[in-house]
Amino acid sequence: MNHHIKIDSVFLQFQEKKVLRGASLSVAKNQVIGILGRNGCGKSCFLKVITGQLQPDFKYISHNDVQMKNLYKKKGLINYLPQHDFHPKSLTISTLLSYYGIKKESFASTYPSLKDKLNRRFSSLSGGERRIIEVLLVLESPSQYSILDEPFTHVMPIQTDIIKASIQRIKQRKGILITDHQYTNVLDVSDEIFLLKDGTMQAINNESDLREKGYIL
Amino acid sequence: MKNLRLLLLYSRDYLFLSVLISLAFLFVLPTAGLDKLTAFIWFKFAVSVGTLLIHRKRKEKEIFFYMNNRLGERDVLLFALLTDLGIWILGLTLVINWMI
Repeated sequence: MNHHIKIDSVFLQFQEKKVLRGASLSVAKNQVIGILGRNGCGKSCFLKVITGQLQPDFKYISHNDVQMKNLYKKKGLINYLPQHDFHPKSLTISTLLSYYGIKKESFASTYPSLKDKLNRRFSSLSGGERRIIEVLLVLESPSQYSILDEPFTHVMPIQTDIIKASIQRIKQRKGILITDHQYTNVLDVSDEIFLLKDGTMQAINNESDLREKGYIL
Repeated sequence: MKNLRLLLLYSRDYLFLSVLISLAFLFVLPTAGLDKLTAFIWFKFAVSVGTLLIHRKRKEKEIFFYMNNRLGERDVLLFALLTDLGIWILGLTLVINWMI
């Protein structure tokens, strides 16, 4: 069976403003799907619909063609990286790793530059350090799909490369949905790209498509 | 065990405050008398729900950590409220037995 989640025909409206007008996509295991779009076009809203934080006017969400109201309801199916810090500040990185079911030793060997951070509290890290740790926790955890909202924001270029390499390695065992304004990074890691424009997902093949559709100059 | 640790992590601030409030109620009850018991129960319940709503707002950003670890928002909120009310009912039973 081809494992996949499908998000189809999402219609979302805030008062008079129609944010999503039938936005649809599907993510298969071993695939990275990238979503690009201007500020306020509804990227984060789309992710919030998937994770059940927003109730749209209409949506059809399924996992392996079985309809689901909320993907979070199925244990271990998805995990989510929101735009903001979301881990309890009092916990150490080692403790967070154990909650996510990630072995400390294997994490330290995969990411040697983060080894000295493992015994520190989350609150003691800088904004960029917190962000990369959160991205890697979500990616490395054993869920079937990861949904990443702006994973490249607030991290320095060398850490961006670490995240990109991790995405490429981890997609062998999970499906990844990603959105970020750093479009070159999204283009680099994604197997399929969509531009969210006028409330719908428009397929993008390369950078010149983005230029044509007015996303970049 | 992991789930219990996560539930306690989410609710510990709330439980600390709500146990203090429960103790205050139980301390005042013998002075007020058992005829005020119904009012006390409703007041405690209202204070618990109000405190829990404030706690939920404070923990709004952290909820994805619990959701990523397979605990929904309803699970963590119910655990906090039921533990609080369980402690309150236990304390209430002990105080009423002592009073009569």
